[in-house]
Amino acid sequence: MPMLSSSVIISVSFLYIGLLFAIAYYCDKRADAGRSVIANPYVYALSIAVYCTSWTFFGSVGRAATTGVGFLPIYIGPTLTFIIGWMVIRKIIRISKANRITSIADFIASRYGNSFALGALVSIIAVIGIPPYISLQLKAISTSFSILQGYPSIIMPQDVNGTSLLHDTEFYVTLLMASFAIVFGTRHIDASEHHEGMVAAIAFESVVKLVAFLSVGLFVTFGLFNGFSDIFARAEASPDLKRLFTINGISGHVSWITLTILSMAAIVVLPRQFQVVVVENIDERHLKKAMWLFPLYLLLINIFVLPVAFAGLLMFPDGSVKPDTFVLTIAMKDQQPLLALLAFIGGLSAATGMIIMEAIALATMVSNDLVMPLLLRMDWLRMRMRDDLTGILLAIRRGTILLVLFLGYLYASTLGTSYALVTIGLVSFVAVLQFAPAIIAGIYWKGATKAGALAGLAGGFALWTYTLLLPSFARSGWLSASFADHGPYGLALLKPYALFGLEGLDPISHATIWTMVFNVALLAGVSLFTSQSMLERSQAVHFVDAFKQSQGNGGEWRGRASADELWSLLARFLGAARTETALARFEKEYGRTLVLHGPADSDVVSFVKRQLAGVIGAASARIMVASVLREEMQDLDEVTRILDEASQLVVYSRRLESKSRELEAATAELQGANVRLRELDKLKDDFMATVSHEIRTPLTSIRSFSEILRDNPDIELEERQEFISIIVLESERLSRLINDILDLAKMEAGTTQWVFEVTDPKPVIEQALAATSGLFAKSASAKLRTVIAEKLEPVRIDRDRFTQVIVNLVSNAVKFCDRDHGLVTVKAWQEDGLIRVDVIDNGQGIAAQDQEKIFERFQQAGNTLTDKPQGTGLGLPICRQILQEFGGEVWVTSEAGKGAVFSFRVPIAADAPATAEHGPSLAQDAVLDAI
Amino acid sequence: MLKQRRNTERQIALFLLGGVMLVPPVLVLFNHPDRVAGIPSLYLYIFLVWTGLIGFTLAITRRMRLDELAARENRQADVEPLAPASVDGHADA
Repeated sequence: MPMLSSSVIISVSFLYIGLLFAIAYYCDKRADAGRSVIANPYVYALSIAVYCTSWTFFGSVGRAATTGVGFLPIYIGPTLTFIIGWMVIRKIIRISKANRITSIADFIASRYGNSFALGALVSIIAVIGIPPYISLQLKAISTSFSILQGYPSIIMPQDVNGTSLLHDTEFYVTLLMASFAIVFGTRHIDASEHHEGMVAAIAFESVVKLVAFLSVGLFVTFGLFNGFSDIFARAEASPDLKRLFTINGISGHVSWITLTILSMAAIVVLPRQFQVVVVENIDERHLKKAMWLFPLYLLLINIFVLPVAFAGLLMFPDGSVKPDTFVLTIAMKDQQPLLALLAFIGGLSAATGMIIMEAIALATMVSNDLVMPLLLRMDWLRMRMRDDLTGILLAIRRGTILLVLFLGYLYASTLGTSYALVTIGLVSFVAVLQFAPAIIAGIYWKGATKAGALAGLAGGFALWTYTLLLPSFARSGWLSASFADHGPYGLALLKPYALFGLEGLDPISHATIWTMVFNVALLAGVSLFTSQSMLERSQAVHFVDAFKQSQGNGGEWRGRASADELWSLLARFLGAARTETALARFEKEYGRTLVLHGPADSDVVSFVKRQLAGVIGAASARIMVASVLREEMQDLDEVTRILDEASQLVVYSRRLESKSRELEAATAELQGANVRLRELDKLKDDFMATVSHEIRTPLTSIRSFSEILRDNPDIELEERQEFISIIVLESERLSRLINDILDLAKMEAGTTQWVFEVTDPKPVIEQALAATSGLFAKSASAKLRTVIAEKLEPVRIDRDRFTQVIVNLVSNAVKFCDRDHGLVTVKAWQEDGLIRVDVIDNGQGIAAQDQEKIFERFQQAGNTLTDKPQGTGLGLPICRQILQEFGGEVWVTSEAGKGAVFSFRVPIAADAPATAEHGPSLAQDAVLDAI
Repeated sequence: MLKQRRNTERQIALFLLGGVMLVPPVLVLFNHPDRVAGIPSLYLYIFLVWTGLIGFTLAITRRMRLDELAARENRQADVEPLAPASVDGHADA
């Protein structure tokens, strides 16, 4: 009776999937409206049961039929984990909520200092490790579909490559699942939001598969047989079956232990489990109920596994029917089409739930921890500039869902045929088990470092590849079979199933042991010999002390710490004196006396917090105060370490700052020195140029007149004498110039011999003026007028040099005085302990900008290069040098066109009696006619 | 606080107990093909222990909830904590 044509099966399947769509859609709408359907512990517990895949539904019976109780550790492990769920899982949930964790890759990356490398590695391991598991689900659906449509005859699908029906089914299922995951799994942008519709659909599927399996189990146990003891009694009769009553051999026990450990970890670290247990958790109190509800679910779905397995073995003794299909085939054999259909739907629900959830978890992981960070790092993409990345994010997630599902499809259609269902799933289990050490160390050991986690993960993953993945390739013929059987190049020690000579174990136990040995050893070893960055350490404290940190809010701390403790905490950071001041300020601010021995009330706490925040920042202050309130000093150490490091950094940056300031100052100094040096260099060049110029002028005339005399022997005597006198004159000028240069150079170098004596300056001045009388004699019109005070106090001078100054100034005055009515006035008088001498001419005067310049060497008023030089240009610099030596000074006051006044003064000798006499006495005038 | 810690300790104890009882070598004690009450002794043992673990977990979580309720009442009423006996009445781990 062909009641189950493929069209019927397909329609029912589509009806079922349509129902899932409807549930997911309805719940999403409810969630949007703010009335969540899934916000209760029962839905939460049922959604966790996504752990039970088609592997449980069909595979457990298959494994039971070959190993007896060997399938049970997979469910006992999670039961054990959930007993301590309130400590471990709640901690992970708490951390994840605080850090907005979206996937297991995110969790590990975040714990180890937001490491991109770690997040990427975890994502890659998951993407490589999980597709076999997905392929298992696809295979289960296609196989069960293929068997069911053969009803009523039971035909095993041929396990050869290219069975088109199988692959077609797998392909369509892949497409359907991908669309479901995309529609309900990538609706939201923020992955930390909950996929309420998905979770509801998953919970519903958990009910369906449990009901389906229990129906089959009850039917088999109580319909086909007379209860449990009947089945077991009949099985006992067969020695082959009786063997399954016990665990056999060492390898059986080792396998039991390793599977228990594997599944203990898998219940949290499988990407989809992390998604439903942690990310989709709405309220951590739901976990409390799930702690017994979920293990109860596992117990119920496993009660009938052994009876069904034995029933199947008793009903198909010839081995023509694969044990993996007993759940379906027993119902078919007893001509129960509806039950068979229910079993098929149960398997379908188990498979689809897993596929959808796993695809979404992987998509989130890959997009958030692998692709997006990579894209953001590619500067040329200018992703950071974009305002809205949601479109890209969604595209990546959808792409990842498709990719992961098709990888699963690919695995199923090429490699999958070489393994039994259970083994394929366990390969994935071992892959994700690699995450466990990094997570457990991450939440319980502050010392675990990023380098350690990376090393552990990479090492474990490498061994997984070697001991499980590569041999599976070898079995499928992608690699030479001798690799799996004899090791690479025939090296027995490197046989992937008996690495380093560890023989006698099943591949899964073998791989579990080796990957864990390397993973844990590398994690611990590398962590112990590497150090953490600031961020890593603060994240480590954050993760390990997750419970302690978040309990500090509200009134929880009331009465737990005395005010005394808080004040001593404050004193540690402020010092005793400032704490005393703060105390006084507190009492003033709150208008009450502080009882130090009483419990700290909220006023004290917030006051202390504020004071501390001023010193160490608000966040640190909060931690510090919280740590005292909880009286946990070991945490204080940790906090202090963080603060130490922070303050160390502050100190370093301050030092750096002051160093850079010093450098700046030094640079400025150097720049100044450089400018001055360049000035000096320029001066030197100028000096050389001027000296050469000054020397060349007389030399040129001497030379030209000499040449005239040489070349013209018949020159007139009169003319000859004139020429010779010019030569003499120029020679004199030249020697005077050179004398002056030498003189100045000597004075500047300080090698001049000075003959100081305390003397009356008046005779010296008069003598000097007498010496200049020759100048006036030569000049056509210049006259000299002297106004010298009668009595001048003695000064300490070098007579000759003093005379030189006066002669210099007077000869300058003669040179520059009015050409027609030249008048040079020399005044000398005494003022304020100084002898002052003015030399006044009535020439053109000196422009203001030249007044300082003329005291520099070779600088004369006007342009020296075009005008005929009227002196050596060294007279005034020499005067300045001399007067400096005498302790006096020389300066000029002049207005253009009104003549110039050159003044100098010399201090009166200290031992001479000072007489107060001011201004020159004009009665003493003596006008000397210069002609 | 003290009660919370006590409940945590109970969970750890239960976890360790389960870990010891459901794993060799203790498991080996029941690893023989005899049937007890018609069911192979190993199967019966495992499922019984499993059921027991779930039952105790249920009991502990129930206590946790009651302790929390009591603590909340205490905070609200600001009175002395209730005597432990008043919230007992469940199987102890």
